[in-house]
Amino acid sequence: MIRWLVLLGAFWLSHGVMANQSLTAQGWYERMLEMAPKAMYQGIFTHQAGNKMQSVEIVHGEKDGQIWERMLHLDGPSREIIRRGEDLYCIHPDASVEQLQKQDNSLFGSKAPGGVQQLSKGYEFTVVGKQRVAGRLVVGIQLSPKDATRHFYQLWLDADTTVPLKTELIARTGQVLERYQFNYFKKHSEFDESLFAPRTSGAKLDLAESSKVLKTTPQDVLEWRLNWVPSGFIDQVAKGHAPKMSARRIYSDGIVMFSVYVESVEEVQDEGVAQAGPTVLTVQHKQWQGKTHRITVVGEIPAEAAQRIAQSVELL
Amino acid sequence: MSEKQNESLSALMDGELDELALHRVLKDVESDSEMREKWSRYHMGREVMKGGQSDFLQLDISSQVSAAIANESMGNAASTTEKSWFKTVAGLGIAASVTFAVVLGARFNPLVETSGDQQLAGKTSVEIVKPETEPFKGPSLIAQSPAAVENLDEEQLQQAQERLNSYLKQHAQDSAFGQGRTAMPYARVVNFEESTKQKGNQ
Repeated sequence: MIRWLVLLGAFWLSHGVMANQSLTAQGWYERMLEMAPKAMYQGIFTHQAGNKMQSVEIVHGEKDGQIWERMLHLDGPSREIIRRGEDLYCIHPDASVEQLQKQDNSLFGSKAPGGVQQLSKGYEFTVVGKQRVAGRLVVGIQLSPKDATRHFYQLWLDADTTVPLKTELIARTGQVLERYQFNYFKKHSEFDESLFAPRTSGAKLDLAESSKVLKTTPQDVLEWRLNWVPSGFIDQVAKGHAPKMSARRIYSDGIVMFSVYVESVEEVQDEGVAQAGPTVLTVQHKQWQGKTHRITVVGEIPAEAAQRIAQSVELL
Repeated sequence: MSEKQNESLSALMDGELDELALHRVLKDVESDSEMREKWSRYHMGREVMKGGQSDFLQLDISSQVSAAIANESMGNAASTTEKSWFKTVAGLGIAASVTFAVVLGARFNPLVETSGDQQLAGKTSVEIVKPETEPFKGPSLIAQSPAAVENLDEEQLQQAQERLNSYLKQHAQDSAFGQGRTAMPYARVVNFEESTKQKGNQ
């Protein structure tokens, strides 16, 4: 009996991985970009940052070429995120619904960043081995930074669906800044719409208020440029969603993003560096034409890099 | 909401309910919106206090939280007032974000090497291969001016906090869409929802 089980196990292992055995880390990553968004599954993952942890239930699938997703926060007050293609809703504990993003004002449209070619400017790709996560075989790939302006990424992809079952953002010191890890993962064979209905009773998506984030009007926008951008980071040309009186830009190296806000202010109030989970915030001020401007950089990058980016802002 | 329910909520927060009572309270919370709201508030208040001892950030609002809870005559709030090393900062609302919101202390954190207790329990089991890279060149990278922050009054500090949190939320949303292939960054978005909501309630 045991011999059969072993044989069966060996067959399953070889069957699952054999086809992909020759894949490089880049190959795996590209496969993930193609397959993971379309994968159909449900599961529970934990999200850790610093020494905080939360559990989240996720249901993911594809309907008519659109990604559908529902995430329910399992600890503490219930919060839910519902995704229907480019529409994104948040359901608060009191069952009120906020629409965070709409189809027609989607920041990146269909051109999301993140191809291997762009990533290769900032990272080396390596396969780091195989493991078992949430009871499933996973293949680990590591993105190692080529310079000190970014952190490490380790992704453990489900050998079958390519869905990352474990993702870690790791500082150069070896400290894990953030970790997502599935505890339970179940692949679905077909799309079941009922699984995507909000679990918060009384929540109605069609009554959603728009997000409270203020919009920038054209006269608020300051013209500025960065004189130093870490290699591989590209301006994502984000417009229109910045808090008032701020000119915001977003840069991505394919997997990590930082945002830069520049505002004209009356006086210097706060300045320095803050850390929130994996995200660093730096606030600096510069004088231009007798006026004080506040520069805020927000991103999952080392604080030193964020500060250097902020220092390089030049008002035009 | 009855006094009894109030007590039950308080006991729920302290984990002092037996199973039968627990079920009853959870049922009450489900059906009673006032109770749900209150529970949610207690919960967030406690999250903030817990966070204050362990997070990257200095949390200076706990006494405020304690006061808020005491005002609602929650039985066991007294034990929390022992945390006297915390300073008072107005603006519990924005600070009460459940997980990651920025909470400003009397000053921003200086750049420090992170100590062991801030790390996750386990490091990655795979050795990280560090590539040979050049360290930063250029101007001094530690640009602190805490003096500018120390002079702020509570209201200004609160404003700064709210501003940074709105940036954080915006950034998390953008990242979720830009990097949304793996779905995970949405978990970060979820973390910020409390803060905006609370602000609206004040």
